[in-house]
Amino acid sequence: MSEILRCENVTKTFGSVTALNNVSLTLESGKIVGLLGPNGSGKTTLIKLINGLLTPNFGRLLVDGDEPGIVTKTKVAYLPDNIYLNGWMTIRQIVEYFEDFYEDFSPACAYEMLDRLGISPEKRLKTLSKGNKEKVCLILVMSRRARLYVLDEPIAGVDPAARDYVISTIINNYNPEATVLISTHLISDIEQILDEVLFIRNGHLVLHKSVEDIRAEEGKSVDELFREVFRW
Amino acid sequence: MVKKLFRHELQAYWRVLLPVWGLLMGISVLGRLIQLFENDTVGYGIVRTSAITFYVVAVAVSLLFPFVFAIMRYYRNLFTGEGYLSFTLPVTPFQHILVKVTAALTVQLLTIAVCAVSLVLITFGDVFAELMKAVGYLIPYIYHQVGWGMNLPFFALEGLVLVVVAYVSETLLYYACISIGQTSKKNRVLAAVGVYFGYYFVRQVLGTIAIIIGTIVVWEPLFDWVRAHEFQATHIALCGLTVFYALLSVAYFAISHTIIRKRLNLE
Amino acid sequence: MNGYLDKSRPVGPQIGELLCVAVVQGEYAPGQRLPSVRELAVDLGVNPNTVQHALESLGEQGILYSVRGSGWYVQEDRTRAREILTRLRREKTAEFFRTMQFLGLPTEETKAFVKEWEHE
Repeated sequence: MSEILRCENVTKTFGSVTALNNVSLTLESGKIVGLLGPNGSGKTTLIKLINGLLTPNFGRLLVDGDEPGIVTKTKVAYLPDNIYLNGWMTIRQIVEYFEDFYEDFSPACAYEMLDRLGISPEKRLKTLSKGNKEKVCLILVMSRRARLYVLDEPIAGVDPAARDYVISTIINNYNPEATVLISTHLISDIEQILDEVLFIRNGHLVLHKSVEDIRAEEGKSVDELFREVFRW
Repeated sequence: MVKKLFRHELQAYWRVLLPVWGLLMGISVLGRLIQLFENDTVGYGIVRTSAITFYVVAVAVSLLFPFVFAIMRYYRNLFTGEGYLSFTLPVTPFQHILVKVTAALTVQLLTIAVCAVSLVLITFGDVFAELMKAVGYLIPYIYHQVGWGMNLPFFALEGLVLVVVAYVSETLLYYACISIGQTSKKNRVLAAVGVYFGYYFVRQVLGTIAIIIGTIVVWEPLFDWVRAHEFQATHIALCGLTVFYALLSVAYFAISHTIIRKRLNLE
Repeated sequence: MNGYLDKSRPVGPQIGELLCVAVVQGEYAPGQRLPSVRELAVDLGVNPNTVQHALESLGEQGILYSVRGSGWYVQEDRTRAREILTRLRREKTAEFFRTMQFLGLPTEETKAFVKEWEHE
């Protein structure tokens, strides 16, 4: 198994606030990994560091052996936790944009998923409902053949039907050579599709374990364990 | 990648610039059509004057618009939600800034061209012929005034280069201010405005000091040389200013680049 | 996620159990190819790697066999699958009677209780 992500003593501070404190971890290829923690625990900070939207104060972070930069950006597909696309663009324009910049992007795959949802590519993004906007964002990200997918809170604030859609879209587009990192605080909805979990609290990594090991050793679901670890 | 980025950048401009240009063309055509009903009534005089005023305002707004939009695009495309996409493209910060400033310059030049075309439209016919005649007189007049020894096309070229470089440097200055504003913890736009006015103030003070020093320390040999070699002195002044603005551009570019590369912090 | 699966126990073996039922009941006939790992994972709403492990484990137990580049097939001989399912049913029944004992019904009374039991 090759290593896709390595963090070595990564620390990130914002002024006097320490968002990530000396985090070291490695993720292998071919895993679906949950990045779990309460709001404000440092999940988004770690994700932004992976995507080069922030730089660490200390330590280093390698994606497939490289520090975040132009090379890693061709390998990482990132779903931010907000709608980050231009509302005035039509879906087709956005698809063409992705096609232009990401060599691993498959327009056919994107159009097929859009078609199944009945979303016309000629529509402008801003005319879609919030739920459909989020689905479009997910479709674009999952239509890449990336090495590492980083999905920031893909199921927060969506209804249960949409949640199922998100989960099956992730599984459907998952390829065994890639790794998917999913951050969430809604664990019970997503734990069954995970291989491993990272528990993160106040910027510290407190657990990195396979979910089947957790179930076997603790006799608990990940959600139950999470509630125990994060009980105040 | 730079080519693709440039293409998409221009696409974002077309959306807002094409209507503006279309409107300007419409106003100039309308202004020309009004002249067809020329007569001596007071009513016509009022209509004509207001049409011309309207046209002049439209030209001024059109010329300013690309500049304002270029500044907004730099901010919105890089430092708001859109930045999440921009900075996860396989594109370097250097390429981002380069494309932003070249696209801004391109649309500004295109807008000037569009304004020129609109001028031809509104003056179409006799007025345009008279205008050309005036230009025909003007060039020999300039030659006559400053003497036949000067190379007018060459001066014009130097002047044009200076204007372009100054424009680029001004755009990059705004970019640098926005970038510096981003390093603030909150009120980042306000911080950018503060940085701009702070810098503006410092520049004014330095300029004033330079002028004062210049008037106190009158270095006669220099003035003598300038009087004796007017053309060379003008060349040197134009080129010197161009180099000065170019150096400023490099500095502004470097500031934005460093901040984006090392201090990027999207919220 | 399938209603049978219990997230507080390892899910892999439970997927194996579900597949055993499908084989014994003929949902997948002997010699038939199973859906792909991806399809099974989407159907069950579970992790594809876990499905893969479950299939491999059923392969080792002689219930399925794999053909390179094609997928997983049901063995002609379903004896192993039946044995495993029977053992599982016994275990679950024993567990049920034990629970009922804790709830105050000895085995014989539980049997009578079950006989008269109607789903509300």
